[in-house]
Amino acid sequence: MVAAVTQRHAIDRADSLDPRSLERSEQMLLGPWAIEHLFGVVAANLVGVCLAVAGWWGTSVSRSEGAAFGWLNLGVVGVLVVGLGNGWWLARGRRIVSLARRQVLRSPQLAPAVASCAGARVRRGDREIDGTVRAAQPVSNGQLVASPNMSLYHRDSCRLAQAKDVRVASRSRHERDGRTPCEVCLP
Amino acid sequence: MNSSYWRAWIRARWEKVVGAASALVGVVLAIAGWHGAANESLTTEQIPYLASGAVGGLIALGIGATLWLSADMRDEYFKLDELHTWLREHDGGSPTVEPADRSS
Repeated sequence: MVAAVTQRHAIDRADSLDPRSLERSEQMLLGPWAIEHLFGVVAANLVGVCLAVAGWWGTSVSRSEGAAFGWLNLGVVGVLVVGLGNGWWLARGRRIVSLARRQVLRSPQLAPAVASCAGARVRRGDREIDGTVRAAQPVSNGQLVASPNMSLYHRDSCRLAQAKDVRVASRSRHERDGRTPCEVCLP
Repeated sequence: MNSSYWRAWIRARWEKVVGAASALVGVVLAIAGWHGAANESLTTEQIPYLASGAVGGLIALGIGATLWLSADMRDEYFKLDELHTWLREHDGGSPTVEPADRSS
C-alpha cells in the first residue's frame, strides 16, 4: 500500500518537467524524510554491521578470553551505532509527521472537530430550525446537518456532508426523524 | 489466489515484509547463538556465538523494527498529505443549503 501511495504521489507531484519539480517528486518517495536522512541511516547501519562482523571475526580468531571480550565489545559498539542511527531516523520521521498532523489540524475546516475533541463546548443547535434555513445562507460551524434521505446526521464540517443537499436541525429533531450520529465526525 | 496476486501484495508492502523477515532472522540468530553457546564448554568458544548470535540478532531485530515503523510513519505522512491537499482544494467549502421552503 505504501509503495502504491508513494508511487502515485511521485506521479502527482511531478506535474511538469521542471528539474526542481522532478527532484521534489523523487524526494516525496521518502515521505517525511529527506534524501540526506536516508544516507545517514544507511551509513549508520552499514558501519554497525561492519563493526559487528569485525567483532564476530575477532572473537573467532582470538585465543584468549581477554582478547575475545575486546572484540565482542566492538560488536556491542556496532549494535549501539545501528540503534542510534535507526532511532535518529525514526525520531526525525515522528517529528515531521507530528508537525504535519498539527498543520492539518490547524485547518479552519477542521476547527470545530478539533475544538470538540479538546473539550470545548460546541453549540448543539437548540433552536428548532427544521430545514427552514434562509436561501444562500451558509451553514455556520458546529451545527448539525442531514438531508431528508440520510440515516445519519453530521457536523456541518464533516466530509460526508460536503456538497450534499443538507439542512440544519437540532439534535432532538434529527433523532426524532430516526437519524443516528455520524461515526466519522461524532456530532 | 495466484502467484501474481502474492507478488503484487508483497510489492505493495515490501517494507513490512522485509521488516518482518529481518525480525525473524534476528530471532533465529539469537536462538542459534544461544544453542551454539550452550553446547560449548570453553568461554573462548562461547564468545563467537555471542558475537554472531546475540549481536547479529539484535541488529537484525533493530533493522526489522525500524523498517516496520518507517512504513507506518510514511503511510501516515502520505495520508496527512492527501488530507492537507484536499483541505486546500476545498478551502471554505461548507455544505450547500437548498433554498428554504417558505410556504411552511
